[in-house]
Parts: sequence; structure tokens; C-alpha cells
Amino acid sequence: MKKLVLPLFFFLTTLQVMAIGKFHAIIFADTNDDRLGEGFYANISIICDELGIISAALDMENSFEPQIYQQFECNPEKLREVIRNLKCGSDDIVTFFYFGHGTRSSKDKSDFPQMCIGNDESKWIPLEDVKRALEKKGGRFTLVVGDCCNNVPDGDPVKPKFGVLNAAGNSTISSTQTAAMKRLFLEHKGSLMISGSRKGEYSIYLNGKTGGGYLTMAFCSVLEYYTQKYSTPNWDNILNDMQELVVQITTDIKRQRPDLNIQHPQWKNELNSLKVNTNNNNNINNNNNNIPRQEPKDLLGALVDIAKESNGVSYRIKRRQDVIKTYFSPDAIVEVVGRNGTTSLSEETASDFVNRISTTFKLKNFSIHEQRKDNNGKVTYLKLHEIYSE
Amino acid sequence: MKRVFILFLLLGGICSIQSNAQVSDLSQEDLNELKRQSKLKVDQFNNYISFIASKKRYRSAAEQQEDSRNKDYYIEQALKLFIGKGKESKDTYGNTIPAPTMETSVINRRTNKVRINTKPVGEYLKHLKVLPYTEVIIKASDAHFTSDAKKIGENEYELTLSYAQIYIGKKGEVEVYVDKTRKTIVVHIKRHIKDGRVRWTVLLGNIKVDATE
Repeated sequence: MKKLVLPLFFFLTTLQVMAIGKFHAIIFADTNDDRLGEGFYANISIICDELGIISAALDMENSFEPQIYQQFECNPEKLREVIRNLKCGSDDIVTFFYFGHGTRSSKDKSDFPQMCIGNDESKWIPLEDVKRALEKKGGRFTLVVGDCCNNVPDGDPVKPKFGVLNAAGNSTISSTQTAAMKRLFLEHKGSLMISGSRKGEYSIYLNGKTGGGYLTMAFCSVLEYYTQKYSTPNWDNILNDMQELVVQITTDIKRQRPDLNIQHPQWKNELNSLKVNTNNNNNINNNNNNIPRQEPKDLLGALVDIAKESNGVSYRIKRRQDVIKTYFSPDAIVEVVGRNGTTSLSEETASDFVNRISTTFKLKNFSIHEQRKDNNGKVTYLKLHEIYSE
Repeated sequence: MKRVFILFLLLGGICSIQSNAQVSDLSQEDLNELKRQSKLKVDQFNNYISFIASKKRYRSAAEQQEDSRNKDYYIEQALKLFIGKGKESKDTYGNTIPAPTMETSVINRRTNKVRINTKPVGEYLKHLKVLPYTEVIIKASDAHFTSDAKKIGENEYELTLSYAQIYIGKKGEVEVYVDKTRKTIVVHIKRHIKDGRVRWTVLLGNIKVDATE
């Protein structure tokens, strides 16, 4: 009997762990753009911090590893490839962000913009297509955000597009915030698509390294506000306040720049509430001594692994040398920045950094802002933000 | 009010559109980050204390030795939070800075008199590890800043933070010592320029006892 019960217990435990799902974050940003590239780049940093917080709060199966495609990788072929290769389980959360120029044709059926991704207009992809393609992957929750314009250029030169991605076929957290993020992301099924502006409008960016798109900044601020304050927020309030905030700010801007429009973010909310017992998740994680430990395969995974208190004091201390040798060059430097991505809070050798995080408390995740590697693929410089729970 | 907060967060916290309110000569944005970092370091130190003081029943000598080694390592890491890594050091001008100290208080329950002891932080942590209790529980809460950033020299600032510490020492199931102390810690912040960019160092300094009950 014992022989049967024990494997059954492990089987059930594993089953429940698998049910939690993975967190996917795909970001395409046109940072090569001469005019707004820096603003698009700033958006990557803002959203990565926010996604790091969401991922840490949800405590999903995988460590947070955003797939960021910028500069020359921000092209339609890459987008198709990424969506095609995305492996998605039925409990997964898929998020997609586009930071770049957007436009539309007066004949477009969708109210949402086309992403001006790449130089060839004929290959631009409607945001709605991305949403459909990602929905088809069968995840539980899909979030698609396009912080881009949605206006018809003079002379209506852009061709209407629909279904162009179909060919791709087969892409410091408090308990209140943890509960709130779980409520928003784990207790809903379906998709949510957001664009920076309505038909005919521009989306405005504050350019520069500390800038970003007003949609992205408002989305992150409002999401932070609600999840820090309320353990049971709802998407409608977040979206309405996000819109109100962008409208308010761009109304003020229009007073100084009459040539710009007031920007009205829009969304299509197709989420259904789904009651999930998130407590199961915590219980399972507390029992993770019973689950075979998997060696992380990348730097971020290794850092999260070494910072994770539930891995035990001795394991974390023993892993240090291995992580330092595997990922860092001997004289590598790690710079820690604040949430704003610019205030440099400390600079230490990689060895001091890894030693420190092996004993740090409540460190849940990291948001990597920049890394440089030598010819052997070892990190020589790493710039990151550390995310703690309260 | 809610909207004002969000607007503030957006404009002040993220965009930093020309709204650099100055405290001393720190921008509000930097000050917010540095305060967050200061609080985080104090919080980390209190967690280190709690771990170093914790006791458990070992299953073997090997386990005990491993725990002792781990605690020594935690002491080493905890000291890195302090000026001079918890030891005597020199400032930019070559002046000697004494090792940061920790004040502790002991209440005599019969006379209700409080005795204050001062030790270098390193000594205090080593002492914590070998306390003769079977269980020690140390909790810290209610941390808040009692002063704004004060400029104390060229590119150097100071913040003061106060927190409550509850200390429970047990022998068996009996609580043989309990006290609640309000402590004040000085946080030192230093600015330096490297590669044309401003870098900050946040380090903890002396910890004093304000009141004990």
C-alpha cells in the first residue's frame, strides 16, 4: 500500500505544480528609431520591472525571462518565429508588448493599430493578429499591449491588413500585492488587448532614457497602485484609471503642443473570472523538498535560484562558486539600480554580488537592464534591479 | 486623492519631467531610491540578526558544524552592510572612523533598571551566535525615518531611521528574557562619480537604543 501511496503523492504534487503554469513575456521594441528609440528603450526597462514584480508575486513555475527583441531583431520575421516557437501550456500566462510606431488604414476592420514593425509597409502586422495568434496557443491568460500610434497618415497610404499572422500557424512585494497579482492573472481566463490610442490618434512618448510611452507608464503606475493597495483589484478599474490618467496628461500636453492629440488608450477585455485556489500554490512550494530540483539553465534562473530562501541556507551557500564560475568572467562587475532604472545604488564584483544574494532575505527576483559579455560568453558587466517582497 | 497619487507617481516617480524637488542637494527621485535602499539594508540586517541568533536541535555533529559555518558566513555578509565592513576604517581624508557600534539594553526585572551596553557590531553578532538560550526570537518592525537627508560633508549624507525590536530568549518552553526596544540607526550615503555617472553607496552606521520596555 505504502508503495502505491508514495508515488501517487509525488504524482499528485507534480500535477498540481504543473497546473500553476508558466509566465511568458515577449517584448518587441523599435529602439533603432532615430526619433523615439530612447523612449521605446525606456519602456523596456519600465515594463521589465513591472513584469518582474508580477512574476515574483505569482510565483509561477519558471523564472522570469523576458524575451526582448529590439534594434534589428524587431522585425516581422522574428515576430512570426517567436510566436511560432512559443510553447504554451493551458495554465500559462502570455504577455506581449510592442513599443514602436503604429498606424492604420481607414479600411482596417480592427479598431486597434497596425504595428510598423520593420521597414516594409506590406509586412506590418495588426496588433489584433498578434492577439489572435497568441490566443490560439491555448494559454489561460493573454495580455497584448501596443504602446503605439493608431492614426491614418495623410493620403491613407497604409494598406488594410487582417489575419496576416495566420500564416504563422503553429509563440520590495507585499502579501497584498502578491494576492492582488494572483487575483488579476491567475483568476482570469481569456485575453486582454490594449493599445495606446484610439483610431486616428497618435500615441505620445516622452523621449530620452528616463522617458517612455505614456500608455506603458500609466499602465504600470496604475497596476502598481491598485495591487499595492488592494488585494482584490479588478481589471475594469485599472483600465479605466489608466485611460483617465493618459487622457489627463495628454490634455495638459496639448495645451503646450496644440499639434498633438489627446490620447485615449483603448482595450478589448475578453477575460472571464476563474476562481483558483491560489493557496494550493503556496502549499506546494513549501513542500518543494519533495520535488526534484532542476538546475537553472541561464543566468537569471541561476540568480533567482541562489536567492530563493526555500532552497535552504546550505544549498544557497554551496551554489555560489558554481554560479560565479559558470556565468561571470573573473573581473566582472555588477551594478544594482533602483526602480527608476537610473539611480545607481551599488557596484560590486560579481563574486561579492553572488555571495551577498546567497544570504539575502526576501529577494524574489531580478530585472536585468543590461549585460555585456566577453568572447567566451561570460558576463563582464551586469546592470540589474533587485525585487524584494515586504 | 487617488488620482493625485497616481499622477504624482507617474510624473514624479517615473517620468521625472523637470520636477526635481531638492532635499539637501539630492533630487527627489534619487532620495526616494536611497531611502528605499536604506530601509532595505536595515531590514536585511534585522533578518541577519534573527538568523544568526536562531537555535535548533541538531541531528549530528556534522550538522552542527555546518550550521556554525553558515552562521559565520552570515555574520561576514551582515558586516558588509556597515561602514568599513564593521571594522575601523579611514574616511576620504585619511581620518580614522571607529568600527560601527551596536547598543543593547538589558532590563533588570526586579529593579526595572535598564543597562545599556555598547559593542562593535562584529562582536555583537558573534555574541548573538552563542547566546545561552535554547531558542532566540528577534523581530523588528515599524521602521520609519526620523530625519530627512542631512548633508554632512562633500558628497556625503546621513539619514536616521528608527525601528522597534522585540527580543525573546527561551530556555525550554519558558521565556526567560523578553524586551521591546526602540532603536535608531544612522545610514551613511556617499556619492561618487564614475565613468561620468553618479554612483551611490549606502552603508549602515551606529545603532543606538532609544527606549526599552
